[in-house]
Amino acid sequence: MNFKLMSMAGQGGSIFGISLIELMNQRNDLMVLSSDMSTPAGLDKFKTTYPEHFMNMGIAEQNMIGTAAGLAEEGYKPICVAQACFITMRSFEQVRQYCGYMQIPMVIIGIGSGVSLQYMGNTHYAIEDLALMRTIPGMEVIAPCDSYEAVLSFEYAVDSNHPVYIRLFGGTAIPAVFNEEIEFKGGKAIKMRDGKDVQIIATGSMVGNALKVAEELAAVGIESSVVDMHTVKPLDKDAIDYKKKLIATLEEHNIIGGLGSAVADVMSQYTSHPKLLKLGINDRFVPVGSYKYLLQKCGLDIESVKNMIINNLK
Amino acid sequence: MVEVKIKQNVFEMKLKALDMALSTSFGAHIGGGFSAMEIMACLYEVANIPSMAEEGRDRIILSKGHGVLALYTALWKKGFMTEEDLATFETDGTMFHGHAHRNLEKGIEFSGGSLGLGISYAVGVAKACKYKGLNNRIYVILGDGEMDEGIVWEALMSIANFSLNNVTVIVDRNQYQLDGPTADIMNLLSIEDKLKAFGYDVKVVNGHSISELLDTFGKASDKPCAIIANTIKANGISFLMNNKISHQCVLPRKKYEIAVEDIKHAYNGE
Repeated sequence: MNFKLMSMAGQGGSIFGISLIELMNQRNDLMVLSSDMSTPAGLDKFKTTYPEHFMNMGIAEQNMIGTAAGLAEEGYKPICVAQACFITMRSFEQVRQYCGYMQIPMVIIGIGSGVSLQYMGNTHYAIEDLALMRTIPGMEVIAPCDSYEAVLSFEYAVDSNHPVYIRLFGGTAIPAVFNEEIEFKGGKAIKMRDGKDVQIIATGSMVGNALKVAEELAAVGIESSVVDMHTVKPLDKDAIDYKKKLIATLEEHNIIGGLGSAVADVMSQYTSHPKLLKLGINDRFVPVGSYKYLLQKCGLDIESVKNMIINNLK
Repeated sequence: MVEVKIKQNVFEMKLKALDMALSTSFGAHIGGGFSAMEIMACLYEVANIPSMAEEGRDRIILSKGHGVLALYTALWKKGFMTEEDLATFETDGTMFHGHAHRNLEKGIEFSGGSLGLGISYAVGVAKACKYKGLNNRIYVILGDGEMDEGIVWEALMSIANFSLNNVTVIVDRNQYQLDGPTADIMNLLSIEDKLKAFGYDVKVVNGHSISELLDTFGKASDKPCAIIANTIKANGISFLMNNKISHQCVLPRKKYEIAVEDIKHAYNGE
């Protein structure tokens, strides 16, 4: 595994520029569909190498999902890619109908999730995609935390016989969370760090931040464990640690309907459980700015998360 | 005389748009802004907008929401936006980012960015204006790439169905979308034939010709109007024309200087 190369290529670049090209040597049933997004997704090499396995559907996400459903029912494995906001929101009913109701397996990849599209503004932010995809029966929902985990989740999704939504965040040259090979299985969370006081459960872009928060908390005498909850549905119930004083969930998503809600759904089944601190975007549209600025405005930067955890331990 | 004034406006809008593109490290939608410069400049000349508080004003709805370099600079020439407003383009906390956000005080009717949503919104605006007995015109600017979206055709159909002859749809036919030429990505074939079949009074013009645009804008018809404005993406910028990268790109200083020279040369010096 070339972790450095993948880190440089970003999540989309690693999936479509490295992993997918390798997969083509193993199987000939893959069909990639894109809504005018082949260049931003990192598909340019693939589409020129395997033009017969690529369909650019134009800016038409609904028809992309419908076409993919037809391909899947005829024996192909469709992989659909568009911006996370449009592929989950504009195509929601198509995904519900084909992937949910008709149980058609396909891989749906949303790029530029959360607030990673910065100055494109709120029309292009995806802060409700986890919530939407979670409500569809039979959908698996994965938010990988770096390029390597993105590749692992992609390979897992391609091999699955059920529909999977993979939520990617933006850009190239993203920091690596993993620097050695790991075993990845959908629905099985990864314990990143141990600590007795607090459990931080994070997903996607926030896993790297959670580890940094844990370091800062350790410096002030608070021991925290960190869980990479890459799969938001089905949730790994066993990963929740009820012996902690506080559980904090961390996601670049609306606090309604995403990881925090999924954890709350499980915890609420028990009469006794720790306090749950749901950190995310507080049910609002946010002002527009750079990624760093946006994380601060959303209270998702390391300093804000650290302070929220300290305050909730008091 | 009005043509001379608009030509000067477009020249100033283009130079201002290049300044804005230079100012952001995030990248600006240069291509689709520059294809629509004359369209937006002429629209704001022709449209009757005495004030944004005036209920009977004409509505200008930029459905291709990424065309902000043309929209913001046209609003600047119109006096709705200031130099200070433009200076906040793509800065933290700005109201003026890469897709226009509804702001009546600044002349912005619609929050664009999600393609196809502007024209659907316009159906309701046009119907409401008819209900209220207003004698105004609803202008909608569509991108040709945007016409891939199904909702565009649902909206086009309903405009004709409801006899909304107060609507003028302008298609910025720049022949490109993000991934490349529209003919290669999703071939629209003849937009003119399609819109005629949908019940529109269709005109095809050179979208960079101020006189041709002025001749077609604001003309009443018993049918809804559609103007197919043939344009060039990133029009006038030598290294970006017919180059898909112009859709959204960073403009480094050296390239900026070439672009400024290109524009000044085309407008004969200063």
